[in-house]
Amino acid sequence: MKLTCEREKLLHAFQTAASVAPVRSPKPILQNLKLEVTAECAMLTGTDLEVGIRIEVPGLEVEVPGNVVLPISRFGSILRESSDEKLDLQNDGQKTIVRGQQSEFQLPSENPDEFPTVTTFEEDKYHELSARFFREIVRRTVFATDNESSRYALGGVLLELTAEGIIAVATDGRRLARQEGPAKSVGGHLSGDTMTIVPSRAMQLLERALGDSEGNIQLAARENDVLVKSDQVTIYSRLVEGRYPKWRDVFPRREDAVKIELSVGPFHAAVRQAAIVTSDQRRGVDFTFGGGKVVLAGHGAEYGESHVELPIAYDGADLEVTLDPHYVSDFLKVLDPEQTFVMELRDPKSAAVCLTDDGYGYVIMPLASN
Amino acid sequence: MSRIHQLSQSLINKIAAGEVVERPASVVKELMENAVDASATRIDVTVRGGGVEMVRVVDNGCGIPADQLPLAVASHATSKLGEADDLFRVGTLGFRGEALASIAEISRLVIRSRPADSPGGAELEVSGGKPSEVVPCGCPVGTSVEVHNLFFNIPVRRKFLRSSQTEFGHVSEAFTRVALPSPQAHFTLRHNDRQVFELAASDGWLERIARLSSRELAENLIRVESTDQEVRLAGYVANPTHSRSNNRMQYLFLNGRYIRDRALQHALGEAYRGLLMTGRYPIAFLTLEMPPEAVDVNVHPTKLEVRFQDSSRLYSQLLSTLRSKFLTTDLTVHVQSTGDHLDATAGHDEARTDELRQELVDWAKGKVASWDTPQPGGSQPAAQDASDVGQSSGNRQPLQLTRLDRSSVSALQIHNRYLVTESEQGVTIIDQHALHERILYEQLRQRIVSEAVETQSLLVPEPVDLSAPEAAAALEHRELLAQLGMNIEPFGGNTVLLAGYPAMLANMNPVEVLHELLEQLLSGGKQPDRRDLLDELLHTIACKAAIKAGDRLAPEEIAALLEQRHLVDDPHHCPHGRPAALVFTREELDRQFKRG
Repeated sequence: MKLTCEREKLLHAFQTAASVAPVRSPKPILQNLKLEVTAECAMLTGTDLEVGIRIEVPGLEVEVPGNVVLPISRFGSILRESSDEKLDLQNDGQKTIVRGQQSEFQLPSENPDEFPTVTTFEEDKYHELSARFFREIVRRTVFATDNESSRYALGGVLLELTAEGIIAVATDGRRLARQEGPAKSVGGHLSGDTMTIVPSRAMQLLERALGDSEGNIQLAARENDVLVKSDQVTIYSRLVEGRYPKWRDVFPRREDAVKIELSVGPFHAAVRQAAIVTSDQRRGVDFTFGGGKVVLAGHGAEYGESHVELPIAYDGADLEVTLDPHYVSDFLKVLDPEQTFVMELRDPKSAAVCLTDDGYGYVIMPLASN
Repeated sequence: MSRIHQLSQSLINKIAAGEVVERPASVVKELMENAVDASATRIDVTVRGGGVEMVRVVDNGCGIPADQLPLAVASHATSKLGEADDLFRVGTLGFRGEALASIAEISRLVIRSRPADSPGGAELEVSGGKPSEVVPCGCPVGTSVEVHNLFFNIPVRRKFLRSSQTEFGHVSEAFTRVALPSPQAHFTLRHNDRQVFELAASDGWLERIARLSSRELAENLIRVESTDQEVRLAGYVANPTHSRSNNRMQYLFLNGRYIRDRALQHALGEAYRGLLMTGRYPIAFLTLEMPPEAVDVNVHPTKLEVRFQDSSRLYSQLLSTLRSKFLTTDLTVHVQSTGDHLDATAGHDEARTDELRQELVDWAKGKVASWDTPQPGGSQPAAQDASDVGQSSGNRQPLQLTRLDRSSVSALQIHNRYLVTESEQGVTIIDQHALHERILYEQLRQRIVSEAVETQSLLVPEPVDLSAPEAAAALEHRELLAQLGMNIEPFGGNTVLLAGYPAMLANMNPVEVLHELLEQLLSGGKQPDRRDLLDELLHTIACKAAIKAGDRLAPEEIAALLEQRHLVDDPHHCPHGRPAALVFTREELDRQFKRG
């Protein structure tokens, strides 16, 4: 194999793919990436056997096609440290030679055939949605997952792929985030009864791998894994096993709840202020809505008390609820500060529901004090 | 159809004997108690073949006149009880008049006796309940009872006897239980012609304990004493460095009688809470003296269980006596145990003791809803009725506590695990995790106890599979758990739904915490209350939050840790009861280096 690459482009692809590789593994070959070069294209693959990535490397001038396994830490360093615009890469089956203008490296090379194959995207049934929206889904759901839980299903994001669109749900049992949005079903692709629970790590990887790309992505949910393909990248992930809680049952749909419109920026600032005096032992902040304002009161025996007021459009009777400010902040963080949202409340014992007009819903269970 | 008929006296006695005489050890107990009741000052016990072949108890007590010998072995005949009212103020160990009759029924028994004022003795032989003639014999003053071939006429019972070694083990325990509370008498125990115990009469209880257990244990006992109205509690409890994996080394004597009492055993366990590791039991030798009418011993033929008139008061007396003693005693684990502990005596702020005692009394009666441990230097309670809270008498010595010198807070961290520091006595080695955990625990406790606990409700209740007893306990104590913020709902079978959990647990797994709480609920002999469970929660939180063994500490962190050491009530043990610090005394080091 022999080729010349554009260093910056290869570095970018290399770093993205390298984030899949395991930090430590009983299978040392996984701490490498495989570069497959044919006359038409060059594909960089990496995997930790749970999640795999195929990423197309642009800007190669191929003299002799072939495959090579590149050690992540050493080859990655070479790409980073070099200042050459182009690098020559050559492999004779024994060693890999990297040559710049004033530098040359010889790296031992392993047999590329031992590197696990990363599944390619060859589905004809899939959902198509915009990469921008998919990144939004990730940002708005992954934070609510719970990787520590004994219920493994909560460590992933549930994707429901219907004829009309996509619904993504994440919860750790105390709050729940749900994003709905448009997606086009191609070839009659539906998630149906299978629980498509994508590990949060794979979701984050997808967000990173998609970068700023503005195109569409294709998403195919299969029985045990999921494949996502964009122009340059294909990502494969095993699904989280287990049953996801019936989230629709716990997502309140209340006619009698009071709806309060709030704007994100000022409300977030108030929450952050009120939370200053809370502690691990005393987490709650009391939210009292009514009389044209919301009063946020935090109190910890240890750090004192806080009292923050914010004028709002709600004029009705007083409504009180105690919430963990971290959970409120998590929601506000992923929204645009200029945006508004509606908070639905009924009484101190029932959940607070936050809704935006772009299909985002967030449920927070209150704190009770006795 | 079988006919109803009156049983023969002999059969009645055999049935009754089954209750009283379970094994040879029971014979030893009954005979030794008779000897003690006869005011003997020397009691010799000889056993052969684990007591199955022969048990002989010889005393130098008041003896039985020849004409009363047949009565002595008759059922319901006794000199220890006169009229019905006597039953409510029993001052002797026995009173039922059944022991000898029962034993005689199921063995070959020879009794020889001579009162001091009689020129000669008399002998009576009873075989399987059939007495022979009383014949004169020569014998010293006192009574000797020989029991041969126990259970010879009850083969069933004989079959259930264990090896001679095991049976002798029980005999030896029975011997201990009688010999322990009577140091004024001389006791001997021989088995198969081998001398097992020779206990000379002595004034000191400690000496007798040392002989019957071990010298090393005796050196690590702490003397406790208190008087509450007419009840006097005295004796020794072991330094927490010494413990057992069962509660058999808890000797409790009520007016000289060995008893078992679950409530008092629990109080003992409570007193050591936080000082012993889970699953370890304290060692104690305690005597309770109270007017005979305050207690009913006529509950069970073996009189192992008794009923107290005011058991909750007794509970709190025992608990507070021990607790306040521990608070003033240096419980640091000494690597080479010295006799120092025995000298480290009580005596400190009396108001504090009062406060503590009152709190415990209230608590035992379930009056304390929320809990507020008195802190040194905190507000003192209003003066109390002195009669209500009987003060322990005795001359108080000034407080003797070994505390770390505040100025010398420099310490060396070794293996990222232990802190080594110099103290006045020598070298103190501190387990950094245990100490930090203890400090956090105390801080948490101060902060939490007065406040309500926040509950984080769960969106989707989490099903938790429990064992059958755990599930029962969880549902039974639902309200108590809810007070702690743990909301439980039944889900059918042994599964419960966790609908909410204490918010302060942060990222800890609530299911694990629930299991720990239930364990606590199931283990306590007493109804656990909010305080117990909250304690358990705080332990868990403190343990998770504390620095771990293996964490590298900066010098400032070490200094901060050691400074806080003084804020903690009992810095010598972590809340799980592991020692937090070891002390190597200078003397010990000198000895090791052969400096004399």
